[in-house]
Amino acid sequence: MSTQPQQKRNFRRTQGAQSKPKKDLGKNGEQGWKRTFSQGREGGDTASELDEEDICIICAEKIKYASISPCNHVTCNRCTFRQRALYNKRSCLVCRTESDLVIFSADKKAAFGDINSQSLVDTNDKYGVSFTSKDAASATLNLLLFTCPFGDTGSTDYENFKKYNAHLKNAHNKTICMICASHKKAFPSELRVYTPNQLRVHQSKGDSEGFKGHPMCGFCSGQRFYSDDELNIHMRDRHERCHICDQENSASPRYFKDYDQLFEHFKFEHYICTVQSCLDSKFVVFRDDLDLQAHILKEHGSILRNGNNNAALKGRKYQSQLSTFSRPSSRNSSTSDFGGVSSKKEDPENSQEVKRLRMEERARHYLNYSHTDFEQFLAINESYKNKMITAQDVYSAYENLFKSPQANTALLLYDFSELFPKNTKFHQDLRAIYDSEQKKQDRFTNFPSLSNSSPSLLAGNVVSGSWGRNGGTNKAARQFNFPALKKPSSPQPLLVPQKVSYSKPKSATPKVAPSLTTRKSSSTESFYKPTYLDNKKASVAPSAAVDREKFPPLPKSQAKKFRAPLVNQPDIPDPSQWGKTPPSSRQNSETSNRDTTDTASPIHVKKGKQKQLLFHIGI
Amino acid sequence: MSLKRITKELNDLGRDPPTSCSAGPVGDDLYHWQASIMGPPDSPYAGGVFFLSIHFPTDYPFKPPKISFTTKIYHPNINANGNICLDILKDQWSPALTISKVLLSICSLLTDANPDDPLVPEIAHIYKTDRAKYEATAKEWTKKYAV
Repeated sequence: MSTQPQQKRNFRRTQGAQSKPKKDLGKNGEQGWKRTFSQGREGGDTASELDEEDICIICAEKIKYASISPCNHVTCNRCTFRQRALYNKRSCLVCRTESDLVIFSADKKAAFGDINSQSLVDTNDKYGVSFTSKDAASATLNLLLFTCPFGDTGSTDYENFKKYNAHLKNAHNKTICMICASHKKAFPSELRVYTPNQLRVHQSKGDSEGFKGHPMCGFCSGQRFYSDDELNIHMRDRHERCHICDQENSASPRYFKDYDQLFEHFKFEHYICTVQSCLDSKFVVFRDDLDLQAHILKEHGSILRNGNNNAALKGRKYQSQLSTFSRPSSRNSSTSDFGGVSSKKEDPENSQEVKRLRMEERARHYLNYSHTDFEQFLAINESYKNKMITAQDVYSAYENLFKSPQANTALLLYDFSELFPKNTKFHQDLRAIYDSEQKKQDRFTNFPSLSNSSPSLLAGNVVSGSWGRNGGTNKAARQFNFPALKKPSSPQPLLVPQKVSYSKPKSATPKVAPSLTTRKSSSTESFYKPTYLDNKKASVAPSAAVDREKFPPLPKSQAKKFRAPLVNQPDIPDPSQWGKTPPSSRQNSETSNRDTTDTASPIHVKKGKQKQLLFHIGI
Repeated sequence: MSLKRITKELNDLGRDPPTSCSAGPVGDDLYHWQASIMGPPDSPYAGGVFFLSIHFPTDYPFKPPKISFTTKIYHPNINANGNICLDILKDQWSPALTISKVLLSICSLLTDANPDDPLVPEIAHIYKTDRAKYEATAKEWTKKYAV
């Protein structure tokens, strides 16, 4: 008789302790949260900072027993014990330093080194924890006990979750969630006890904030996993994921129960190679017709030529031609995504709501998160919306409001204009100002020193080019942006790197022996600076002279090309055969030599070197 | 356990907001936040406002939060789905880290990409071989998606 009420009370106690925050939320709804926030803000500086010392930085609960590590980081005993006993890690929760021993003490301010070993009353070697009091030891180690929350078996320890759950089932018709038990890294007393119905709700929908239930595998009926991470591991290990669909949109992977189902999917939605060897080796499938044909040509070229298997391939071709027509061009855009400029359909992430958020976020940032200024900003926008002020007024109001040097009011105008439909006057007026500002800025950044050489502008120029400094790689861009700067004054820093880059190969050319190497260097040079060369020739005489030394190779190679037609004339021996003819057939080579004496006469005594020497003369 | 910690972080963010980023819950669900990062001025992302979504696992802070960009961004360590390759969001997570610190780390990832541990090898390759092109594209994407 008397046990029942007690049982009930106990039950409520255990349940209540765990779900208290949630209950509060449920009762007060949003108000409850708002209240806690405002409390935190108002009383923040005095009350909570005093509390800060007492609050565990990990779980934000009040510390009763502190865990003190050799690195002198203090957390609560529960968090550190969770790390050491349940996660089996000995690293400090704050700095990740591994330590074999930590001390749990009621004194939060003690330093690890100051605690002498005499004051340690108990040590647990398994978890590497010493205790300064019996209370601390029992409070900590009892966390691991599997005692029945209903109190009917006293302090009997059920040793593990299985036995514990069996007791709950038999004696109370209750259960814990075994998925949580094995994954949550929770102490037994932290796990909620459910009725079978509650368990079902817990697993399928979730029963606490932030928890949406244990996800289920769609193929293995009824099998649930602790979280999406565990489910993903299961899917990866036990089921098949279409790698072709992944290439198109890896955000929503498509899974299939096994390879047979995946194969069906391949057949209908992708381009699978139907040659038997590829069917056997599996996963030989392509995302478009071209890739498949390239594969067939490369791997099964022999089959194609023999025509053995042609029928199948032809059929395939016909089908795929049709399908390439029906395929939308979205594929192309997805492949060229990294090229950059694919015109996207209205992105969901750029919706009106996001645009508004973006503008407000920008404004708040420029205003250093000042509330009053932000209110003012909103007021300006509001009066523009109500046609009380013009776009120009908005701009000047912004200019007055946003005084921070990093503030870009033009961008704010742009953001604001985006909030109105494109064809309205609201949008167009704002955009007009933005565009004119943008033009001004462009002019400013593109032609800074030409317009005006006042020091302030020069400084601006340096700032705008600041991230050009961190690497020599964007010289090309710099050249492009400042093409016509012809040394207004000699110490122009921007021109120096250019000079260096071009003079390097120049200085190299005379040193290197006149052979293949010179040609290589010249060809790489010509690769990226034809226009530059033109300029040089026209304007700078001395370096052009140096260039000429180096550039004759080009006409020379033309001369070599001229010789090519000769090859086709049947009666004249092929000069290109010189290298090929074996040393034994001298007559041939001698006749050929005679033919070319006009160009290459002086040195054909040593045949081994002929080739090189001919080159030399050409140069 | 996690709820109290998340609430504390939210209070701290309100009391002392970090420069150039902000974060807060999307709706009533304290486990789902939205954050924003201002493109660092010394990077090609300057001028952009980037949004991120944050999901706290119920085991937070023992498990790291799941953070991803919802604004498209051209970066060697951030892929088309917005996933971020950042060690402190994975194996280098520490329970003492907070959302505020993680957002600052992401900010510095924007300034200094890590092309040696890329999530998008194509972008990392361009980053390493043709920095001007990388910066131009990143700027263009910023203008297109984050302004």
